[in-house]
Amino acid sequence: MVDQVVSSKQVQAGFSRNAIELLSQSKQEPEWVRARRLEAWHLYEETPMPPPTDELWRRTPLQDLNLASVVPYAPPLIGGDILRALPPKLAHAANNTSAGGLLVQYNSSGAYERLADELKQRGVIFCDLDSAIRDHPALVREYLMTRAVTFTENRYSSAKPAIGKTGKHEGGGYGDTIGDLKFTTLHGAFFSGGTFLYVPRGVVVDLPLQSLTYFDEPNLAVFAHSLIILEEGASVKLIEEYASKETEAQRFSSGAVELILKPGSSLQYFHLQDFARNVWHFTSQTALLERDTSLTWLTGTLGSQMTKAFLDCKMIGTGTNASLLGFFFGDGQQHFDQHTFQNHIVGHSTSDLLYKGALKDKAYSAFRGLIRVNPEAQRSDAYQANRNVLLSQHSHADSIPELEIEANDVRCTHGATVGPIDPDQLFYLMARGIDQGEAERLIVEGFFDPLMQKVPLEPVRDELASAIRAKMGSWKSSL
Amino acid sequence: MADELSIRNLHVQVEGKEILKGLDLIVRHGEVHAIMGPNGSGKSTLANTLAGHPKYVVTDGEILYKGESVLAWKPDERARRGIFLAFQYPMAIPGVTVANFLRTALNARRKAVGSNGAAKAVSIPEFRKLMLQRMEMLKLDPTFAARYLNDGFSGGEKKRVEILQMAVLNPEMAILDETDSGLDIDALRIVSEGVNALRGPQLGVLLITHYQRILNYIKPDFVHVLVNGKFAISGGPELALQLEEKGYDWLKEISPEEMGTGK
Ligand SMILES: Nc1ncnc2c1ncn2[C@@H]1O[C@H](COP(=O)(O)OP(=O)(O)OP(=O)(O)O)[C@@H](O)[C@H]1O
Ligand SMILES: [Mg+2]
Repeated sequence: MVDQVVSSKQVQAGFSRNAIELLSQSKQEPEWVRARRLEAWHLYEETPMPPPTDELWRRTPLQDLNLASVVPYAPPLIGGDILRALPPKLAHAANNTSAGGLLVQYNSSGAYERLADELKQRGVIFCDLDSAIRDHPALVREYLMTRAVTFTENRYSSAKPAIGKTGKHEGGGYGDTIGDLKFTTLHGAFFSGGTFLYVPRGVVVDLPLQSLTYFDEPNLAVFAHSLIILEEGASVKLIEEYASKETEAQRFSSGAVELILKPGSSLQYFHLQDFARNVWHFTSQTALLERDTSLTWLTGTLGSQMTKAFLDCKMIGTGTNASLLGFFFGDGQQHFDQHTFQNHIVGHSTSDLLYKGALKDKAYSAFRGLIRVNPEAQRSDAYQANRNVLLSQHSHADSIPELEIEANDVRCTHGATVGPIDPDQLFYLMARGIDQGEAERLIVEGFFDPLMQKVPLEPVRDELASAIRAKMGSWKSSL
Repeated sequence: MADELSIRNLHVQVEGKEILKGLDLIVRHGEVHAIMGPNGSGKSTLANTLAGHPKYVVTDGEILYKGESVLAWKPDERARRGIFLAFQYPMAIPGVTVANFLRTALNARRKAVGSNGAAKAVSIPEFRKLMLQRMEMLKLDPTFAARYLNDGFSGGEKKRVEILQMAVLNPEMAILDETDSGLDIDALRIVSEGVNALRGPQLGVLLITHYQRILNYIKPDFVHVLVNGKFAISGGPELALQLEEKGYDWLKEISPEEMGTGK
């Protein structure tokens, strides 16, 4: 607990129906929210924990996940200045005037909000989800876990068995999987805090908006929910960052992100996760793209002990263009398991995915990229590339593209690479006097640089660069 | 200690195959030595071996720089001590800008040069001034500073940027591996003038080429011809003219006694 802020008393550990009732009461929520939470809880209880035999979970065993000891929410802040309590790496946000707005979620609740007056006047709404439920109930009710991240359909299960006659996974179907349902239902029961962004029709927001989620409460489970709605022709950039304080106890995070793009709108969304090394992080993210929309969707994964991510890019309108970008850098014993889904439901749409990762020490990454093109989705272009650099002998990466192409007029490519730094690149830099550690650092930073350059706030780019440098370890200032 | 690079009875293997079969050569500061020879004769193997590429294994002989064996030194140490290789095929390093790379390299070199405590890192404005001045000398557009190193550069641009690196890092022993290949006529003159501007009593040059033309600009003191991993003949600048006229075939008929041994 940082001393600049004060919260009220502790909440009991463990997930239960009673805990939901207490949470809902403490937030003085309307009945429809409470009902949705209880519906999600019901489904959670009915859904088994994914077994190690589940095709989508076999790379991420859950037996070490201890849900009994985590606390489902923390009471809101009742005093103090959260901006002063932010960890050093996020401190830049407090006085960054190049962002059009800033939200801070501290533990389970919104603790700070700022939005440029000009944007307020044009009808932009940027606040935490609890405030949105209170002040804009119709909007939230329409979109919150009803269209994008839902728990009524299992988008990953398929009639085809995961295991073919050969006894090996043959692609084109995950069989009877639990998918992301276990953790999205839990999220639906306990979501708290989070980011709500609404951009009205035709409003173009130039300055990027920024949202931070930070937690330091011992044993806390965070359930940050982002609900982003762009009306027709709207345009905005949003950077979300996630961080937590290092402690002994295992911590738990189950987030959801919903990106809803109405016709002709354009969104750049950056999701940057740098939790402490005791966090087990689950995230389900869905983008819903109506016609003529454009989306840049970048995820950065640097922190957590374990990250299990499901990202579904659902193209439900023609003329959509989605750029899915990702970077990750694992060290120590970090374990990242990411699923992306280029989901071409109708045609005349393009998705272009590039995920780049570096792994050192004993870090592990699994990347599974599914491209599905429906029979009706003619004229779809889908590209996928996953590049992994292994910086140590004991790091490991699995990269598995999966194609379910049911239309015939389609352009589709995929490629994956896993390997060490190119020794000829290393030699070239060393032949200029740069020592091996520094040369490796330059190459890895260069590897990530084109993705970093997409992030529209310089202090955030600097923060990411120093996180990567710190991971490279041998860094010495060359200035 | 003599300011020279001294190669003695050098035998080098690549992936188990012997490529250099006993080379002797001395390059003193202030001298320019040209090395010519047919494709595959081992010129780049010599260049890479001098720079310390781990794939090139010295199985016999010695390489001394200023009297010290370089064989145990890693490539970065050789470079910091002033040995520079302009690559025949420079590598692209995507994501690393020319400016960032050059500044990192210059700081590494300066630290080494000033290793008696005088190590002073170059400030950013000072560095920019130096880099822009050298770019102008090589008629390189300043926008190259912000481009990713060799990424998407044309063949000629890569060669110019190699010489830019040489001009910024200020080495004492430069090995130029076919820097002239791929340069257009104007670029050849500009790059040669760049190299000539750096020439002086503090710089030795080993210039690998197939063509007489660059030697019209950068006048060699000696010319050596490498055939099948050995020097077939050594001589003065006139040897290059002879080769231009007669090709390499006649060398194969020279008796071993007539062969040069470098210097
Ligand atoms: N890394 C390597 N792996 C395998 N073989 C190699 C390698 N480097 C050089 N060789 C072989 O060694 C021999 C000499 O090659 P080298 O590149 O030194 O020739 P060169 O004289 O520079 O030729 P060129 O004039 O074409 O540049 C060739 O037969 C080449 O195939
Ligand atoms: Mg060669």
